[in-house]
Amino acid sequence: MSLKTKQNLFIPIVWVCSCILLTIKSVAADKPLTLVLHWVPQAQFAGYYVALEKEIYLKYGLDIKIKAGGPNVSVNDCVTSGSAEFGTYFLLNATKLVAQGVPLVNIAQLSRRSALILVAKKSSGIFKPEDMNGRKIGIYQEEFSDIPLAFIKNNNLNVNIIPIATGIHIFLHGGTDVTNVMWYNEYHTILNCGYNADELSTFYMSDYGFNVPEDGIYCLRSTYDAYPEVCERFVEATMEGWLYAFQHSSEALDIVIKEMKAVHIPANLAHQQWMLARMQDIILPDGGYEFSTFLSEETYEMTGRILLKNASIGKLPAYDQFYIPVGKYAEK
Amino acid sequence: MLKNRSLRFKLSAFILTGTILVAAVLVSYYYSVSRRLILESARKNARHLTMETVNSIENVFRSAAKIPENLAYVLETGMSDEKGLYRLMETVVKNNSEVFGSSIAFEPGAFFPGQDRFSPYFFKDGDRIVQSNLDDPGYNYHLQDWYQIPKELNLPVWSEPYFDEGGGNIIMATYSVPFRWLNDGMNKNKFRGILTIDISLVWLKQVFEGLSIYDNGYGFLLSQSGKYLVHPDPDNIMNASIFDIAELHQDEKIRELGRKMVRGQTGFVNIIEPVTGREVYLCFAPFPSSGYSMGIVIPAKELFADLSHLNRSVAMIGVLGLLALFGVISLISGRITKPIRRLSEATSQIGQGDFNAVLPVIDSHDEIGQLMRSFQKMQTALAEYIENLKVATAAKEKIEGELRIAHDIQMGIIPKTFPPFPDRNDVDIYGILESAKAVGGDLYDFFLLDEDHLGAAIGDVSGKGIPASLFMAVTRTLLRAKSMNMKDISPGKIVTSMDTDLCTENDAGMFVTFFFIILNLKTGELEYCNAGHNPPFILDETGEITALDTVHGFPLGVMEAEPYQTGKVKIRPGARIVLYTDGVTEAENEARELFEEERLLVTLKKMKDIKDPKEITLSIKSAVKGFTLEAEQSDDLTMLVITYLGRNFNQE
Repeated sequence: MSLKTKQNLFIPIVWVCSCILLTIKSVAADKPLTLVLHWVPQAQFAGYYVALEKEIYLKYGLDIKIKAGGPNVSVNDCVTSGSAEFGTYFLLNATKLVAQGVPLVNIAQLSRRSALILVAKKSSGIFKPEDMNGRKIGIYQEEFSDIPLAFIKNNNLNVNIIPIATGIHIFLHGGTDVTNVMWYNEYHTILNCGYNADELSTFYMSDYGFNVPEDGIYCLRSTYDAYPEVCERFVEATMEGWLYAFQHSSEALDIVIKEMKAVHIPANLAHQQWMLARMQDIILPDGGYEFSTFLSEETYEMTGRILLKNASIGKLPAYDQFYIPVGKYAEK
Repeated sequence: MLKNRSLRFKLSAFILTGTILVAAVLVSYYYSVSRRLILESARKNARHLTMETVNSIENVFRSAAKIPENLAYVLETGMSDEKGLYRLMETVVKNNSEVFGSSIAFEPGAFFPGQDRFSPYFFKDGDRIVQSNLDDPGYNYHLQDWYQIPKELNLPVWSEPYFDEGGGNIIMATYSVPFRWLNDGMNKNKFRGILTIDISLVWLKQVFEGLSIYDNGYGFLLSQSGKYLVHPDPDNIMNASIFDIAELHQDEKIRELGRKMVRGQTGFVNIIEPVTGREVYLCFAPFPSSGYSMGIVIPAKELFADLSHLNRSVAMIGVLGLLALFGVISLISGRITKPIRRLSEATSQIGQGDFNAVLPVIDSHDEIGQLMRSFQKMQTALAEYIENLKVATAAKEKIEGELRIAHDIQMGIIPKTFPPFPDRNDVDIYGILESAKAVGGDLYDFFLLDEDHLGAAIGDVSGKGIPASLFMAVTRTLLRAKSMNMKDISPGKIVTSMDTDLCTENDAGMFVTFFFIILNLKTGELEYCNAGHNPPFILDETGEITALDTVHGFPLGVMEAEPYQTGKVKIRPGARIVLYTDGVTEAENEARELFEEERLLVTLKKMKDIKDPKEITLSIKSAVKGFTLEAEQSDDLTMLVITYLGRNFNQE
């Protein structure tokens, strides 16, 4: 008897919830949302492109547009101006921006480990950090430079810093002795310029106390406050896109390469293959398919300490001001 | 496997196998030598073509490189006027067809004091020369490879090729030459800036397309970092590197090849092309000025196409030749082996006993002819032999017949009628003589010398067969003759007399052991003489056994010596005298043991109460046979048993 009463109550509740859900869905679907990526199309962003191409975003009731980044695109301008709702940032840069007062929030920390490496040719006699003393170190500008500079400081190295805009050719020509590269990108380029891994000395920043993860998803705090549920669906759909990309890597690569060709970027399959495999190492460092988008307070504090030490920021914003755990993957 | 095949088959098989082996060795040797020669010539040609291409391209790069090098010299030796600089640059771009553009980029403040960036740039736009500058702060030329690398290395550098988006999206390369302050006191020899020229690399494609490398061979060009600048697959150009291809196909060999190429090595290698999977030969060489590297790819299949074609022809000729050879061998071996086959048929006829089988006629003087003649001889010899064998067999049968007769005669001269004196009751006698051969050399004899005296003898002639039996006949004849014609006879005298006669004219050196007794049937007195014979036994009426073991001399016929003496004993009625030859005591069983006297004595002891000489004789015989069993009789078996009954004995 009592069971029947509950059933009678249950039906209207479900109906009301469905209506609310559909309303939100239709609102979100009516208004296309834009994700801006912090670099040109490549396998580093495979999960997003796959989620779009395989209609995973649509499945989650989201109409997403992806705006590719590049040398002439500022992710932060797009996000702050409102031309994009979501943007991908490196943790370090986002921290700097928030410290400067940009009202960003991290809603998913995808990368779980640092991909930054300092590389030297063994033929140049560099095997350990001390060997870099008196040598030329090529360092990429801005967003990539904080950690290498901290590394130099930490190891009390007296080095000649050569600012680099792009590429590894100056390193290959011998114009620099050490260069900073990303594990998933330029490191592979060096290998595929004919250097074998055993001919190179590699200094993974993660091994030297600088395990600052990179890629994360950000939006304005106001966006999150207005559409927390949309943010949640966006993060979960994105992670499903990554899962699909890792489980169907050649299909994912086809999707990425199609995107690259669309914007006339040389699409090098071997390089993209490497990049996707390394992204899997970075997003799922423990193997398996157990995603986490959680940013721990310790990691955030460590990132803050590096920036404070380099005087890149004056004060570290509060952890809960910077990070909001969103969706099912953000549980500790 | 071949064992049961015909000679013709074997011959064909061996010759053909041998021929195929020789041909195979020849062809493979010829093939490998030709292949090596072709490869060597291809290597030379490819090397020649490669070097020719390298040189022609190098010339362009070198002459282009001269332009900024000269310009740098002009700058270093005192060009400080802005207008003059522009004029000079415009002239350079205008007058050098290969030059697409040229820039001069200064270090901060190195042209206009206080100005961070100064970099005039002149380039071709159709027929016009356009002036521009690269001073855009967003571009920041100080951090560009074309500026930074030669600056850091302090050396002129050819850049990695790049797509020039502004200049019509063509592949270009930039040659950057660092220049310095030369005369300025404070900054003497200090780095001042970079001078560049851009040249289009579109013509490289045409150079490589003009190369004639078999039907499907091709040339390719790699940049310093191994990136494809020229390649038949447009997707690879300015996109993939040789190392990317190696990685995608997980081909370490290609990666190693790429490493050699970007390191400026030269070589000629045999590889499997990763994309097509075909075997190719690749000749590669570097461009010393730019650090680029080129390769020429020759498909192995096309390289060896002529040789393969030739090989197919050779193989076809070979197969036809072998077939023809097979026919010829078959024919010849058939002809060679035909007489052998016929001979074989004839021999099998002969083998079945037909010695008159007709042999095939062969006039040849080769081995087969010889074999045939030998066989004819053998056939004749065989026929003769068989004939001889028939004669010999007949002769042998005749001799055997005669021997049988001789045996019958021998047996005839020995008394064989028992009891010999059926009328008398004072003595009984039984004797046997079983020859080991048809005709034996043993003898025994007995006869009455008069009413009261019985003569009896036993002997064993040396040797066997006819001579022994003749000697035995002579001995027996002499015994009878001497015994009948001698007065005052005694065994010693008779034996001595026999010996004298037997020794005379005894060239054959035969002799006979002889034992002779004369028994006085009235008194039981026994006189005897032993010429080298086995001592007989006397089994007296009580069963006691005595040996007459006195020996009076050598066997008869050995030598004339002292006269033989006569021994004397007296026996009582009921005594039995057992005379025997060594055929009894030396009878052998299968273990080659002798019967011996002991066994004879044991047998005699059992005869204590037996008077019948026949029974005694046969008992001894059966004891001997029981001992020898299946063993072949080695000597004549002769016994003579005399039972002395005496007159009184019967009267009792």
